[in-house]
Amino acid sequence: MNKDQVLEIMKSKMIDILPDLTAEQIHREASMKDLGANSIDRFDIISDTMDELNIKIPLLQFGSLKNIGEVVDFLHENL
Amino acid sequence: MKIYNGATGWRFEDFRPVTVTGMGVLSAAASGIEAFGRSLKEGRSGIGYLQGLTYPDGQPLIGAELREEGLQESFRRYEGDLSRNAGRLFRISGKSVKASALAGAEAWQQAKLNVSRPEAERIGLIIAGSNISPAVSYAAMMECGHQLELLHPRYALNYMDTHQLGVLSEMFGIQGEGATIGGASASGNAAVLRAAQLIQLGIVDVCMVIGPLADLSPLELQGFLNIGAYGGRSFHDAPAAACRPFDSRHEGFIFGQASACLILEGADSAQARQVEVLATIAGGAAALDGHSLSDPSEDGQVRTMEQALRTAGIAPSVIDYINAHGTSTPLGDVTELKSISRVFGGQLSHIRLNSTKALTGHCLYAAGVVEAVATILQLQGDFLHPLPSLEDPISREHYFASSLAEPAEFTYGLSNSYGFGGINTSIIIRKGAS
Repeated sequence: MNKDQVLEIMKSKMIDILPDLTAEQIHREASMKDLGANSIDRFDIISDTMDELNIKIPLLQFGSLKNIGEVVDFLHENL
Repeated sequence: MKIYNGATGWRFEDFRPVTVTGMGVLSAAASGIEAFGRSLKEGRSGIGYLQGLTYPDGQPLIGAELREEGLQESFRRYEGDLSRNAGRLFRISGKSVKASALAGAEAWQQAKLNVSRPEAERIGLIIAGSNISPAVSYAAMMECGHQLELLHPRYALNYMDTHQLGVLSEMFGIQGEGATIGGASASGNAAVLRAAQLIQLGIVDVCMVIGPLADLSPLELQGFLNIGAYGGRSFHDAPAAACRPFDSRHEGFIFGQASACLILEGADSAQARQVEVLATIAGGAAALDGHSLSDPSEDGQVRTMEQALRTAGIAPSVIDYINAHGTSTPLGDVTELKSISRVFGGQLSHIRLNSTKALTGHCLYAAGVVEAVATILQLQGDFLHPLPSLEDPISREHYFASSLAEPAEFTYGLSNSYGFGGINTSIIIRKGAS
């Protein structure tokens, strides 16, 4: 699976949790926080994405990541 | 206004009348008020086997389990009436919260609160019970094992009973007073009493009372087995016959899962909104025995029923029907019948008596609310639901329900709920408006 596919999965999870978002708004440079995701939403998005990718990483390790692109890269590294 | 009159406590008629304008229920045997009413009339039990749990001899544990499948679909029809994210909140919630939301939504609709309602600050929310969903903690422990850092952060929110308050208040847009009211197996009645007080005191105009489904883990059920409180060992092949309140072959309680909701409303508010009044909460009382064990106390039960009658301002002879606590526990059943005899003495030959637990199992925190719903359905529908498992009554003095539904015209019903820790409660419900 490549990074674009990971991003697509994450997009679908984000829209599920934040139905006001459109797919176009969600790109590598955007931050989940700026798109309106609160801290619990952000954990839910990452957790739901990991479930689909069938990986388990402690959520605290995502704390320092700045934007969606860095989250996607980190998930991809751990596939 | 005189509100305190010494030893008699408070009289309901001195306060704003408290009516019931909506009901909802979800049980193992039936989903929705109409289906539940039919299941009561038919004496249909929801008791089968609990998945994955066993008696010490390895036989599957008997109980009434509510299946989670299909709940999301059932909720869809209510989503349009609720907050925008109600659907997602429902989806990410545990089974007990889901069941609460469904029962709540049905009652909300019946009370026409989806059409017109007081301001959000005038609506209260009371959730019955404490330690409602230990299965949530058990499942998290099983999933994380020794790697606790994998625990989902949401756990910090949803292990608490008050999570139900948060989710339901968000779904229904409730902003008045809210709390969980714990009273072990008496929680449901305790919650009805607390909600009634909120309305009587004018703190809210409408109060949603939720009897939540108890989502127990194997630990709690094993605890009940080990303390000797759980029944059903002689009924491996006939689970529906395992819960037999007041029958000589009663062996202990049988766990049941259900959620129920009552919408309580000040009579003035119900009239202003022009909604049908289903019943009136005419009285009720709660009292402690002053002991910490599981044994029932005749004195405590008598005191509580007598106090409930006083709060309703009625004589024992006015009660037509008793929805007993009746858990199918030998000591509990005998004690309650003795208490009823002491309070109702010469009236026993006309007071009809049954226990809804015969059909639903013991719904723990929800029991009082489920049984209030069952009482109101019988008052409204002019029937007495059967006790199919009552073959050899332990008393010849009491006028029990029979194996088939009977026509009956009741005006006043009394419903008892008792909890471990010496917690006694009785509520009195009157048919229709006061």
